[in-house]
Amino acid sequence: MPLKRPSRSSQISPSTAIKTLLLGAAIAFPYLTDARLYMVAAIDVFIMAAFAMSYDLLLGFTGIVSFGHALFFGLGAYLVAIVMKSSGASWLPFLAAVLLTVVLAVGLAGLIGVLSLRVRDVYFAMVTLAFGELFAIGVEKWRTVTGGSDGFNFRLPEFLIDKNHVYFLSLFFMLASLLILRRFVNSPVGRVLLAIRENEPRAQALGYNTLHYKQISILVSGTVASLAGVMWAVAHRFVSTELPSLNRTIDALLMTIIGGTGTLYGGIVGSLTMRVIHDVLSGFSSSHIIFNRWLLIFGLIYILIVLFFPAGIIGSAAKMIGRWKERHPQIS
Amino acid sequence: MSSMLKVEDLHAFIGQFHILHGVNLGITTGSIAVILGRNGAGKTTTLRSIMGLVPKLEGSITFDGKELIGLTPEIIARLGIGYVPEDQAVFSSLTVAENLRLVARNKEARAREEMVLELFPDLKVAWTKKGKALSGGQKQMLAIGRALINPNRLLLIDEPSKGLAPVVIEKVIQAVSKLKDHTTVILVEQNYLVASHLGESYHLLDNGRTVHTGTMEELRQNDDLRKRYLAVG
Amino acid sequence: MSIVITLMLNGLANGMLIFLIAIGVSVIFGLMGIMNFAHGALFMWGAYAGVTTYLATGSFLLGIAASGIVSALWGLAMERLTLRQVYGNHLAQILVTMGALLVLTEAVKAIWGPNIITVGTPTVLRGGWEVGGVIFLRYKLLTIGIGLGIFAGLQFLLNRTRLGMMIRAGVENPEMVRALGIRIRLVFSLVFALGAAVAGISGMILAVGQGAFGPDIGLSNQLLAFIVVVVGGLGSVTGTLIGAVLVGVTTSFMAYFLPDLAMAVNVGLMALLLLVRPQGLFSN
Ligand SMILES: Nc1ncnc2c1ncn2[C@@H]1O[C@H](COP(=O)(O)OP(=O)(O)O)[C@@H](O)[C@H]1O
Ligand SMILES: [Mg+2]
Repeated sequence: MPLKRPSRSSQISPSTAIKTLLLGAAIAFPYLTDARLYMVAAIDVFIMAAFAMSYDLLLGFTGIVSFGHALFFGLGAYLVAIVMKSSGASWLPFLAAVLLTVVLAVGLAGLIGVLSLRVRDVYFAMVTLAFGELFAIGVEKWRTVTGGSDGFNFRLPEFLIDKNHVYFLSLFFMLASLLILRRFVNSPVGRVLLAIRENEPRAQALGYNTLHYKQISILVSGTVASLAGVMWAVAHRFVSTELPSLNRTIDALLMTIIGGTGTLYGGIVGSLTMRVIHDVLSGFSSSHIIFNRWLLIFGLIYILIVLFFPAGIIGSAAKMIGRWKERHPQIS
Repeated sequence: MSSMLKVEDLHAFIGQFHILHGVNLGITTGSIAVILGRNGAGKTTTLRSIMGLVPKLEGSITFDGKELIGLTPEIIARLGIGYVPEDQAVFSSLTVAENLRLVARNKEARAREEMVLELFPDLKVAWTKKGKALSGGQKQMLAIGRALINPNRLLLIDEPSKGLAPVVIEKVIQAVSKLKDHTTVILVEQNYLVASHLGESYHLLDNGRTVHTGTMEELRQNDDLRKRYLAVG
Repeated sequence: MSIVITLMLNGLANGMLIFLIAIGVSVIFGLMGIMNFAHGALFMWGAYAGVTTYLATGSFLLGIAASGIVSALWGLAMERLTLRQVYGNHLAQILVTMGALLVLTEAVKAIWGPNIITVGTPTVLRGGWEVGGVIFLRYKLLTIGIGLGIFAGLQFLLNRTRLGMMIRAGVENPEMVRALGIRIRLVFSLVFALGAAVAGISGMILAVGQGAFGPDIGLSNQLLAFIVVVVGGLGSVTGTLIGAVLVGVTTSFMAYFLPDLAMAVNVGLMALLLLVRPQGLFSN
């Protein structure tokens, strides 16, 4: 092979190099000249990536499907929004709202788990759908507090209004979620979760109370998702019924599947991919109305991926690299 | 004489377990062949493999010269193989009549109901009972009768005497011995007495392999073999 | 008192419609182990295709026929093109049906637009009678009649035909059904198409009954169907009927007294059942 062997002395693997490069690019991004235009999109990508990663914890690492994940997202967003609206733009109520979000998310996740996990796995999907929709309906109907489907604006502490601050906070939030979730899936609990996903009866036969482990996974996932909702509220200073809707859950589902389940990074890749494709398709919407229905296109892609490329982008890429390495063993 | 069913070097895999490691069978038309072997020897898995119910198989299974591996259970059944599983799998929410009519593929099969009821008069008595209300013996007769409704040329019967009282076993033996006029039979049996009553030839399985084959007469005379693999004297 | 009876009648009519959606969910799950999260979309397609046909031709009956046929075709396509690839893989099944919900819903929006469609009841079906303060609306009575008729038809199909035997046997032990030479895949397709057709017809009846509907008609009714199925017990026809009537009547009373909390009460009912009897009222 004419290809040169990469030097090993540097001790930096290609993947570390890529990650460092991407992180550097993300940090430098706000200082680029045209960045303002894309700043909002980038913030959304970060927050949704964290949301999608919390979804991957359930789908990819525990093997259960939630159709009510947006409940947690909406919970975090609305709690912060409601508290800030009624208290004014100071830090104390903000932090209290964040704390309350975590407490409520844990409580709700626990309740959903208790109700749905005992029977069959598919009940989790049904019960989460029911609770998610109930929450969404509640938010819409409780107009005096939530403003109904119009939503409402609110104010935040000065620091959180600067777009650069929000940008770095979202980036930090995404990376922190990634690290925490990765730590979690690599922990002893995470290993049991993987064993459950692979073969639940066997995990039970080994003496694990699989219900408890799934429950923990739901709690962690719900908490991260609710914090993603907090971040979204901070970034937009506006909440509306679209946040707790089924479509938001479907976004996370699409991102996770398209990016690749059971990888965590898939959430980031999926979030970025969807946003880019969405913005490109919306650009075409004047030429043909089908581009207005971009979810139709995503839905079809999603079905094809589930049927034929269950590994998603990250997984398929990893497989391709693996095969390439096999064929070229002399290159590290 | 030619073999109706031929199994050659059959390997079966369930999940990550390698269950059969080389099963060989040759079944002659019009006979009752018995598969013998200890608990866990692979008898049930062998029958399930023939029916196409084991997803991963290697080797060869031919029925009238046609390769069965790779075919679905419904196609294999339609080639003329009837299956009576170990747990009988009588449909508990269906009546005796429905259990039989469910499988009748055409008018000709409907007409065979008479023949089945002649063979198993007990079923006539229980005609409108639900499957779950039947006794163990009745379930066994129903399961065998159900496999006879279509004009199958080969019947796979898995331990029909299991869990039955001696009187009932007697009935089952009588019934199975009468099957010979209708069809070829492969009978899995742990109960050596039942096996030796019914079988003409035997295939002895151990640890997922065929370890011995011969006529029932040979087995009767081979005390050593019986002691070693069947724990009977 | 008369208001109670009127509300009961309304609830019964609601319940029959919910039954028609839920029965497909229940039987498909019982037979194939698939929870069809796209069932609400099949229902919605029935509403759109049926109402469109009805508005174009002026014939309510043609509308009903179109709703059943179009939904059946979508159900068949869904089963053949997607679910068939992932039999036995529960996770992939859930994911695929949710994808189908998304695609079918977006397709409706692409064709008919996202806005509310209004439709009038055929003249002969308008109005009703008042007897001792109780109001008998023709359309509600028709709804109850059609619901009972389809229920009876399904009972006949399940208990008196060979297809019904295959379905009942398949619910118990699909592997053995195959080993007896029955082409269970064909049975699966038929059941899927039938469940979709029944859901589609109820979509049409509900849409015309409401007089106005939009693309959210699918999800909200699917949710009710799921609640019914959890309450009644998966795979049980009688359980589904009773669960549906229960949810229908509850919804009808709530809609009169406390409309904002209707869904909360239904979800609460489901939660309660999951706590005290997670296998459902009528599961065996
Ligand atoms: N589904 C399965 N998963 C794992 N092992 C199995 C399974 N079915 C059978 N086995 C194993 O395969 C071996 C043969 O089983 P079987 O064919 O039922 O034996 P037999 O009918 O002769 O008693 C046994 O050791 C059994 O434990
Ligand atoms: Mg056995």
